[in-house]
Amino acid sequence: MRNRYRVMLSAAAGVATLAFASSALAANTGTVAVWHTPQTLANSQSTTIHVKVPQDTNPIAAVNIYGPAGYTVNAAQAPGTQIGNVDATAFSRDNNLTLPLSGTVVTADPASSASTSGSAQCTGVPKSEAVWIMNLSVAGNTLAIPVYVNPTAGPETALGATKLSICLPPPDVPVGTPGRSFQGAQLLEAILTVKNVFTTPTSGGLAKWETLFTPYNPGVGTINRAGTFEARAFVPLPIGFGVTAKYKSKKARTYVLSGKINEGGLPVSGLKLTVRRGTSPSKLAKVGTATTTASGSYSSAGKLKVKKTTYFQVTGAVGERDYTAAGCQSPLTPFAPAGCVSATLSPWSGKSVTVKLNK
Amino acid sequence: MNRAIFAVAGAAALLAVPAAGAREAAAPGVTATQIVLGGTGPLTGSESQYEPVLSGANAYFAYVNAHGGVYGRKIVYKIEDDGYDPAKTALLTSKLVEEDKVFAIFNSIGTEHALAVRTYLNERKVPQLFVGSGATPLAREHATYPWTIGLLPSFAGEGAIYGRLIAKDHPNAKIAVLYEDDEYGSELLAGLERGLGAKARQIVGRQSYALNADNVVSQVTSLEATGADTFVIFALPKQAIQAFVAAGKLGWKPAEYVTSVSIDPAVMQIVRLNTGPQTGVGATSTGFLHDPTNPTQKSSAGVRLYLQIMKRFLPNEDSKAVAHIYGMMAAYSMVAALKGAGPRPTRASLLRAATHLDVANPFLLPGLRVTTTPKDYFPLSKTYVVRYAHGFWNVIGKPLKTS
Repeated sequence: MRNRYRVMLSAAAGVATLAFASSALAANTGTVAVWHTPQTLANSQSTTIHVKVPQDTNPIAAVNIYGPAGYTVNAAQAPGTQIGNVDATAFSRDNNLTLPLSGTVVTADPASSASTSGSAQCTGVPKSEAVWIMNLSVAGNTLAIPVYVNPTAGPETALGATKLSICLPPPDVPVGTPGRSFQGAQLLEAILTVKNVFTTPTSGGLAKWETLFTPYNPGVGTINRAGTFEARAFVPLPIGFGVTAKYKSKKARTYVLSGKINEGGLPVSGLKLTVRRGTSPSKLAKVGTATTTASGSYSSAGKLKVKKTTYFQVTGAVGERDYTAAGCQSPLTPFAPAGCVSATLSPWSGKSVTVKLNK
Repeated sequence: MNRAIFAVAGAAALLAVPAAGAREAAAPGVTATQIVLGGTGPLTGSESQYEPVLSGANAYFAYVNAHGGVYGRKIVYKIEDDGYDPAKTALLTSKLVEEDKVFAIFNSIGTEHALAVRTYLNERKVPQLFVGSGATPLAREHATYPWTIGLLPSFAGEGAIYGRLIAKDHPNAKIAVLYEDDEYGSELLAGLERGLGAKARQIVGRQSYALNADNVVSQVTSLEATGADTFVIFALPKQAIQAFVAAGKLGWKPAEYVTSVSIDPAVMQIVRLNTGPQTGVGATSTGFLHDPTNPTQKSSAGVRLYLQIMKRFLPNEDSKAVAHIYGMMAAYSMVAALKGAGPRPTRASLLRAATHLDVANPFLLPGLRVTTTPKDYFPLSKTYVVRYAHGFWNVIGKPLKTS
């Protein structure tokens, strides 16, 4: 079964924001993280956007995610092309249960009547440049949620070059209310991965992805524009994994492995690295760990057991990291009256090149 | 392409060559180019998780049609949404027969729903085939209602399996039972008592819920209060999820048994998401279908064919939903019956074929077949015990008889 979320944005568009000041004061929050696999320059393999909204935040009416300038976007896939996958959780008010959802992301025809009417309602743009359908399924029920993709224009260019817009119906209005979400489902989390859509910039640094969340006023299904808040995702590009191997004493077969880890040109401190070693570059086994210093440097010493050419590699990974203190500077109040509530630094995993010590 | 796919495609190609005169219209719903079937089920509403039973069947028909159809005729499957309301089932079935002139009613969902239209269809001699039910009256009353055949294993037989298992594995069990207050739940309960034999006295709590009930938390709370250490859940997926979650939140950790209609992988996924990873581990049920999510079955011919059909004909639907593979299993059985009905099918020849089936079905677990005789209207007479562990329902032992 497929339900296309119908959004009642237009009905609520004229609502005066001051009338809902009390809900605007609620502690609404959310996070967004963005990462690429691999996280390198000029790469288009895979982009993941992770949106998370706590259950006690007012239900979200619209999520607008802005891809930064410097990226290129391929929005020219033929309708029906699967461009990715999505995993999500939603709280069903009708069942009082959190539901796991997952499915494909497929391009739709932006010129179809469903796409144009949805685009006009959700974004105000009569025909979006691209429309992606997130097919979120659980137990055979599929919710088809469109993502409208458009270049930004006018003042919005300050937020980014490309806008992904998702509009959601209200879950907390009384059962039977027209436009209420399927089974009162309130989106809590979505992990959207698309392939060969975004190509990362050619120059390094911290790429900032802005996201604006616009909540509903609780229980009434009207949009609380004054409650729009901002969450930021920072993507360090590229991830640098420096490594060199040297004999400390060739006679004693002791060695030192050292290097520096950085992300977007900034040192990564406190990162636990795995050191792998072997006599074949395709058969490396973990032999130890090392932790980076404040400057991103690390070193690891050891002794070789056999007199053979030996290969080394270091690997490491970080999770999503709170970056709010630094990342929420200069909030974009005109766009997000409720302020910047979070900033998140990308997770990534990486590995160095394989280096060797000759016997 | 695997062997089963070859078998199906080969058979379909063979049937695509019509016999001389085969394209003459032979019965309502049958033309030179198509066979029109009808079915009802909950496409919307609280039990809409069964919708894939219908769309899965339709996808299999699309696959058969793509390989030439049956004797050159394409199968058209008209599906009506009854919202799981037997009163609507009756109205919509009448519409399918009187207005749409369907050849047969196929794969309609629900016991009460099938019973609501059984007399009507039998009076008009319209085949009511492979109803999504294992209710005894559908099978045992074939002398009075010869045009009606179910598909699921006997509910009473399934209940008896749990009774025998409990008697063997938990001889001192104090048993609590949650069941749907209708033919479906009552038969499972009666079967459980029969399987328990003298130990049926160890049932310390029985709680029922009404069809389409929104919530069973109060019933589970009452059952937990009996001090039972064994919890038997004879409930549809929505209520089964609520039962598992309610037990988990009460801190109740009984041995759990759940009816086979509620073992879609999503059921336990939802349960665990709402309670914790240990909830439901060790639960027992019965199963007869391949599970496309179970890694131990992913290389089977049935699962590969299923995924191939899903990818081609339902690319944006949930391939993890076991209800889809059930629908394909039902449609495979229907195609076998249509083939058996011959190149000039009539409703009578279809019924004759449907009561003389003995076919392997790639969507069933190994060792199971679809078999019928004019005196045996339970097409699936065996099932496996399955136990939930490591995130999947795992097949245990050999198939057991249900009828």
